Amino acid sequence: MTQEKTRSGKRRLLRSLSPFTTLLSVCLFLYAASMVVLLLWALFTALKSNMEFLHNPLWLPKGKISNWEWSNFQRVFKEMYVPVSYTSGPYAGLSNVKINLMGLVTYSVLYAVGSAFVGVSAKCVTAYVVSRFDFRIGRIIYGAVIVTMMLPIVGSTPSEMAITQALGIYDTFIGAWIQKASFIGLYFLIFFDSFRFIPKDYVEAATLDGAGEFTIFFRIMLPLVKNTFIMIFLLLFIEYWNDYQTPLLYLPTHPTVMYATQQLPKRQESGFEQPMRMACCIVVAIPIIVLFAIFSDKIMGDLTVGGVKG
Amino acid sequence: MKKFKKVMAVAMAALSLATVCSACGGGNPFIASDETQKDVDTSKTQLQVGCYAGGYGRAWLDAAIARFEAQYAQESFETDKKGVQIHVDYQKSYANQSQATMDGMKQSVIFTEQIFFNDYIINGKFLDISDIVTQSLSDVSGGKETGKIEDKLTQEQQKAYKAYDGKYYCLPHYESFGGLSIDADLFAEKNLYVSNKSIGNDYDEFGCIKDEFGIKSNGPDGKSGTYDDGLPATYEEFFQVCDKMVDCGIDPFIWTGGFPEYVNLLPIALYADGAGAEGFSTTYDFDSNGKQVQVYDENMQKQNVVITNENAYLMKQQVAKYDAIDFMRKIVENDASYVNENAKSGACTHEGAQRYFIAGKKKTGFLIEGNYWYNEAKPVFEEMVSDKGDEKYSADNRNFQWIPLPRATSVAPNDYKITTVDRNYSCAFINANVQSDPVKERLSKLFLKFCYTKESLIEFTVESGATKGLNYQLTEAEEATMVSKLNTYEKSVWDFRSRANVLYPISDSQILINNQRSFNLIDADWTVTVNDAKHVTPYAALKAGVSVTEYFKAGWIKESDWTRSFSEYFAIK
Amino acid sequence: MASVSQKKVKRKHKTGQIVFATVMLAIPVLQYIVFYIGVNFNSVLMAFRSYERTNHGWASEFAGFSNFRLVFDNIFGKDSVELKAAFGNSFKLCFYNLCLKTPIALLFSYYICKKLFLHKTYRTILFLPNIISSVTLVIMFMNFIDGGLLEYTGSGLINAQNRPLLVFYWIWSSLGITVLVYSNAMGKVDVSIVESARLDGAGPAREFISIYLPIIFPSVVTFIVSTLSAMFIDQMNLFSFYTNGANTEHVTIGYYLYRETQRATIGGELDKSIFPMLSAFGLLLTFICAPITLGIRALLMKIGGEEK
Repeated sequence: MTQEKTRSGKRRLLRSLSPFTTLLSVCLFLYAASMVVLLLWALFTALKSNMEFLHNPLWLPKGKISNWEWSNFQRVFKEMYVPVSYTSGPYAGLSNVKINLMGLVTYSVLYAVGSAFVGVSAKCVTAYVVSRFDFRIGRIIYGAVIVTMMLPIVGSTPSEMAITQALGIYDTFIGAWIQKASFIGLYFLIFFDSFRFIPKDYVEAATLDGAGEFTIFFRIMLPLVKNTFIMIFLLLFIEYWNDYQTPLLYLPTHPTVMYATQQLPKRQESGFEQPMRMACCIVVAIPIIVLFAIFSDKIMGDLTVGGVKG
Repeated sequence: MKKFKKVMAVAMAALSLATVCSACGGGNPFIASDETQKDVDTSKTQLQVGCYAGGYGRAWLDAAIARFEAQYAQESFETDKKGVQIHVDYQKSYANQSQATMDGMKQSVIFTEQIFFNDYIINGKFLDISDIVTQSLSDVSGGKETGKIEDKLTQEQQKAYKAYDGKYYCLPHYESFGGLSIDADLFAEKNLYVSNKSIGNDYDEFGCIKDEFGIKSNGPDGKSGTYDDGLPATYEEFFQVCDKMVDCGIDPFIWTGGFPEYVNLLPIALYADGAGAEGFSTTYDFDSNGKQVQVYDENMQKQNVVITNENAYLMKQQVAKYDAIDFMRKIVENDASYVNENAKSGACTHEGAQRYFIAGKKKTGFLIEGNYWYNEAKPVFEEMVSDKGDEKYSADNRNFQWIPLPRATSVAPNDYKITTVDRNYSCAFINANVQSDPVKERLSKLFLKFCYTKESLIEFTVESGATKGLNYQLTEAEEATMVSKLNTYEKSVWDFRSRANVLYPISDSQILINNQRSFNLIDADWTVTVNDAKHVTPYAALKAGVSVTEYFKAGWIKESDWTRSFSEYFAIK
Repeated sequence: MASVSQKKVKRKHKTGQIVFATVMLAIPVLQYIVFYIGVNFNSVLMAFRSYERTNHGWASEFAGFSNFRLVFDNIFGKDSVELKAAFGNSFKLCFYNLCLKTPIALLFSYYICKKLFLHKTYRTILFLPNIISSVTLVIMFMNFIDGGLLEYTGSGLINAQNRPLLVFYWIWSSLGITVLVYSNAMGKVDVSIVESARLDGAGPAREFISIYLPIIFPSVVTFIVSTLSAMFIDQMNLFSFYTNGANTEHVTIGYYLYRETQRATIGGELDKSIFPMLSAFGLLLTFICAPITLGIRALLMKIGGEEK
């Protein structure tokens, strides 16, 4: 066994020495290096004072680690904000009201967790009903998903904004969540497949025991697809946490942290130069990097064509 | 299942926590607090003021408020209350203040910039302040001043502010003009001053003095012994100095790359200075008042014309504008050696450029900025002092200077007059919503008037290093006392300003009143489209291969367009 | 007797199922009706209306084809610059996607799928741009190029809106997900085929071209189709880089649409006046994009099939 392993290891090494793979290896190395350098540069820049950055923009901060400008991170908590103008509500008439980091994080959590949960639930529930019962509406829904996914519709955002405003849910989290409660998309198909391949015996046994439909779904079926559910939830969460464009359109007075990040290059306050900007970027990326560190194998391993395996 | 429950539990906990947070505080914990806010003293009458602190800082207003509160400490404005307490909101910019939000705004007196005031006056958003402008200042100055604010305004300003219906609704606030600053110590150290070539041949290959004993040229004003001696008087001299800088390892130019349109401060200033008042004022009053203005015709031949409302499209064809663009051409042609890389960096903020100019790794010769930059850069000086541990790096101990600009061709000393343009549309006004509260209305007017006494104007200049857009009417002794309190840079700004004809781009022209926004000097005048590509600065355009003439002509208004739009421009919207 | 009770149970079940299905589907179906059917229907309606602000809010009226005329003016008009460039750029982007990004992604995927030296590290690093938000990465990149490297480059590239750099960034930051999907698909290739090819003396390059490419062709087709259908959505990160200040010559349709829509939210109150024109434009784009996408999809499926 060990012998075989060494042999296969050798063979792999040998193969990786072919010109084709060597070239690939070099390209990939360069790519990876560029990414690592960028991230390290951002981190080191965040630990410099403005004066130091002026004279040392590229390399490690000078001096002892304890003397590096750690206070930049402290400043992020105080100075990262987004100015907002209100036309209604208790702050009506006020412009440039500054939403602080606590507000930004709260709005991000509300937007990302709420939307991800609503999104994954809608897809899961719909896929379950469509896959399990032979109702006509199920076939219609399945058809709608396929057609909607194939048909690229462009430029309906203004109409959607007008409708959310007419419904009175524009610039509210309830509105943002409802917009995400859609069953359309690849994740629906993934849930659909997952539910279809669950043996019927489970359900029949439960039915004989007198379990109702709700019990069957919540107690039996949902636990069976829990992994898929978590993965899709996480993927959606990451997507929404990182999304600044939708909140910029639909939640103008509820800015999220990414929305604040997007504004960084135009910040004109004193002392808000590269080191502070990088510190802000690092602070907002940390939650996602932690999440990725924990679930990286799951997130990357389960991705097949644009989606997740069950 | 356990993991599932855990993830969902964490998610739901985060969500509910966030919901509770957002619900319970009514949004309050999410709003960055202004630590400078004072506690309300209910025994005093309250007044809310809004101020855009920007480059001019807040020290001047804090000082004015302290004096005002002390002066009226014993006076009662409403029953059971004595004295006044003023709160300032420095958090908001108020620039381009949305008219829709003004009615609900609690701030009564506002000091800000980028206000196209006619738009607001037409919609009734500003309070009529004619009384405080035209009545004696003796009440607020404690009898020290008997004149009125109106006397401190030029004829043109008076006409422009009263243009809508003969009443005053706002007052000019600070002046902001663009141009060049230098580090005088660097100029002295590297002998960057232009030599007086008529006396001996003690100059180097660049026409600059060879050493500290060299005799400096007369400078732009053509007179020796004045503050501008040794500074380049013509474009030619100017670029020779630039070449010497390159020779000494200095990058001649720096400006903020993060806001590329900042570079326009230079061509605007050159254009105004070159065109003079009669030429440049046509860009906002569309009339040269019978005086001849030099323009280029279609075939790029120079012509002298009198500009009136009917042919005001010619204002865009002025020779001085062409010269300013041509000046930029020289910079672009030597881009690699003349322009510091920070001016080309999207990551360089205005403070970044100032920081580099003050303390950069490489020395830079000319900073393209607004006159207010020095006050804005105070934190940088402070950082530098603490970084180097030496007070000689403080703002008050360094020797930076605001300089007069060179001309395309030299001017006879007697004809020389600096012209500059205040381009920030800064003004002070009272929100019309105070009319519902007579106490607030009275107090607002009193405070605004107080801010325009001679004492307040001087205080503004001492605190901010900048100037207000009014005639200070100082006696020589008063001026000397004030100037003694300024540092080298601030003195140079005051010196420049007192010699200059400062143009305010406002007028009583109906065309402007209805379309002030369209004639904004910064954007409208310098953003052009050539060969399907839009350029916001001549620097960018020339760099992209557009010729000076192409860029110049792309900014013209067609005669037919002007004539067609003429009636529209006059229409009251 | 037994059958009657069985029937009863069945009917009870059926009722239970209907109740369950109704409860569960109510929100998603309603959401679909309002936010897909309703939104798109309204979009078509808006394309024929015009909005004007009055003292009592927004008033709208039927505007015939004027919005479409405006769109055509903007595209074909004498003074129109932006949209002409935008169409060109969006098509170019599609082209880069197919001719640059896809081949690179395929080659990288092959390396990772063959589990060659450091493949796990590369895979993780390639995926990082999908984890760190695009705007964060853009800001880091921008400051690195225009700050960290400035001394060495001597000139900022971001402000100059250097096109090759923008395209480079766009590929560099979006390879990860594509590589991951392809490499996972390649992982499904039957080992015995690879082994037998090896015995026939095929080297890695040959193996990649003759075995892996044909097998993952369906995945590639899916990607091509999704690229095409996103043709008018891709912003080339322009909004993250320049907010609304991207140079006219770089603008893509996706960027144009987003920028214009976003502009309506500035100032605290939704400015609907531009919505009809945007809706009309969107409608036209859909008419261009849908047939292209569906047609190419049908064509490619005929050649080599598409993954389900």
